[in-house]
Order: sequence, then structure tokens, then C-alpha cells
Amino acid sequence: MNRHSCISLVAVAGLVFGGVVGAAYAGGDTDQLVSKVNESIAAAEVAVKGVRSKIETSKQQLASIPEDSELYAEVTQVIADASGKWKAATVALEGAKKSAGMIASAPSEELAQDYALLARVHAGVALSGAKVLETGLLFVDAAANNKTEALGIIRKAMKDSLDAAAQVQSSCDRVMKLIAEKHPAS
Amino acid sequence: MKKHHFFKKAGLVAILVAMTSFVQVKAADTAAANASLAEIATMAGQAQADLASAASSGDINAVAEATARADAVTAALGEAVAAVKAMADATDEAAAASAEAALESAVQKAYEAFTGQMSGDTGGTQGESGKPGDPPNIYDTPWKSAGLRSVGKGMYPIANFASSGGGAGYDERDATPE
Repeated sequence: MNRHSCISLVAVAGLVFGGVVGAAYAGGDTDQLVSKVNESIAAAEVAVKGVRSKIETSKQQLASIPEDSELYAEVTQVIADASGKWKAATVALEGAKKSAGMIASAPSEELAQDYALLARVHAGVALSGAKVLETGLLFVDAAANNKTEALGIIRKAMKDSLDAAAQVQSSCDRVMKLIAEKHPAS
Repeated sequence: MKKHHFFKKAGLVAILVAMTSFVQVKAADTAAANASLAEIATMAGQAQADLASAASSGDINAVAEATARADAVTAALGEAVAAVKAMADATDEAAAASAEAALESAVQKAYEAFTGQMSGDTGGTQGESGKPGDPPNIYDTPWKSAGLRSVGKGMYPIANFASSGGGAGYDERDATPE
């Protein structure tokens, strides 16, 4: 599963970088790096919190859809897809915070920037996963409330949202691999 | 002969050093490029959620605007994917620089589309008066319409171009000067 590889690679990156930590890099750009990364993490946190608050309502809406409804199977599939991205999002948010926490103590500018990249891409995974769930919950709402015109648009948005989240995850994996290759364990 | 051999070897070493340095720079750039790609894809996901939200609200204008934004961000994402691939495949600095420029352009397009600064954006206020760049509103505010009206009359002498909204027909309102 991608989220597992995501988190384990963050841990690996931490170990690799940890081996070269001596004195923390105190370059002038560190504050700016941390600030930018924190903005990305804050945006992801807002999205995660926002969608989390809607889950209970959505559960009730889901329960109101009869199992023999022609939309029921599709709705459960949408929820299953969204749920996978949601779990990845919550894990990635923690990964983003961990990476961000390492920027200030990085021994060089290069390492600080690599931690910042890791934090940015993990925040992206968190944000895109939260948005997939948000779109999925809107699909449930449309199905439960017979918003037939909206359903078609939301259905396509859900598919495109899943594709976008997959791209974010793939880019995140690639960034972690490249950074790990740059700092082989000695 | 020995001198020639030395220069040949030194040249080879120089080429190897340059190549190694290019590969190292490329690895760093590729990581940053993939991070940029992730950011555009994140914007694409956000734009789709915005579109879903607009659809759920039933606001047709909001759906049209969100659709345009989502489509533009998705198009920029496609360009970014191609640019990152070109970057990874680049065998020299010129090709890498060209791919990097294409990626920067895609990032800019995605950002502008996501934040509603699309070039050629005619959505905005849907024709309300007073904002620069708004499209002419042929339903409520006649705009240089005298010529258009005469053409319309010529083609459809009986029709009065009545407004489907129940207001004054197009033909019944004052024209603006050409």
C-alpha cells in the first residue's frame, strides 16, 4: 500500500539524515523554508479537519439510502475509494509534520531543502486525500437527496479527484526515492 | 605522444566530471520537479472538490466557473506530467532547461486557473456592468448593438428578439452607439 511505503520512506529518510546530523544548519533561508512548509501543512490540516466534521452527517445520509437502490452499490464503492485516500491523508499529514520538524535541525541547506520537499509532498497527499473524501461525501449527499443533476457532475469530479490524488501519491513516492538515493546510508 | 595521451585522458575526465555534475543536479531538479507536479495535482483535486461542491449547491453559474477552472488545472497537470517526463529523459542541459521552463509554465497556468486568473476568463460577474474585462451582456445592457440589430432585423424581419426572461425584448431596448 502506498501510504505504508510513504511513511516507511519518511522514517528511512529520517534515519539516513539522522546519521549525518552534526550541528544544525543555521542558514538564513531556513525560516523561509519552514514558513512555506507550514503554510502547506496548515492548508492540509484545515482540509482534513473540515472533512472530518462532515463524516457523521454523511454516515446518516448513507444509512438513508435503501440497499436496493440502484445507486447503493456505486455509493459504497465511492466511499470505499474515498476511505482509502482518507487513511493515506491522515498518515501523510503526520509525515509532513515530522519532515517539517526536521528542517530547522538539518545540518546543511541541502538537507533542509530535502526535508522541506518531503514535507510539501506529504502535505499534498494529505490535502488531496481530504479533497477526495470531501467529493465522495458530496456524492453521498447527492444520492441521498436525489440531486440527480448534480450526481453526474460529482461522479466525474470524483473520478478526476481520485486520478489527481493518485498523481500526488506517485509524485510523493518519486520524491522520497530520489531523496533517499541522494543520501545513501553509509 | 605521451602529452597527447594526457590531454585525451584529461578531456575524458572533464567530460565525466561534467556528466556527473549534470546527473547530480538533475536528480535534485527531478525531486523538486516531482514536488511541483504533486502541487499541481493537489490543485487539480481541490478544483474537482470545488466543482462537486458547486454542483451540489445547484448554482449553474458556479458550476460553469468551477468546471472551467477544473478543466484548466487538469490541462496544466497534463502539461506538467509531460514536462517532468521530458526532464527525466533529458540527455543534455538544453533539453533539461527546456523541460524545466515547460514545467514552470504549467505551474503558473495551474495556479492562475485555480485562483481564477485564467487568461481569456469571461466568467467573472456574468456580464454585470462596471468591471473591466467583463463580457458584453446582450440581455440587459445593450453594447454597440445598433449594427447587430439591423442585421437581425434584416434576417428575421418578423422576430423581435424577445427576451426569454420576460423582460424587454432585445429589439425593444435602446441600442448603444457603434
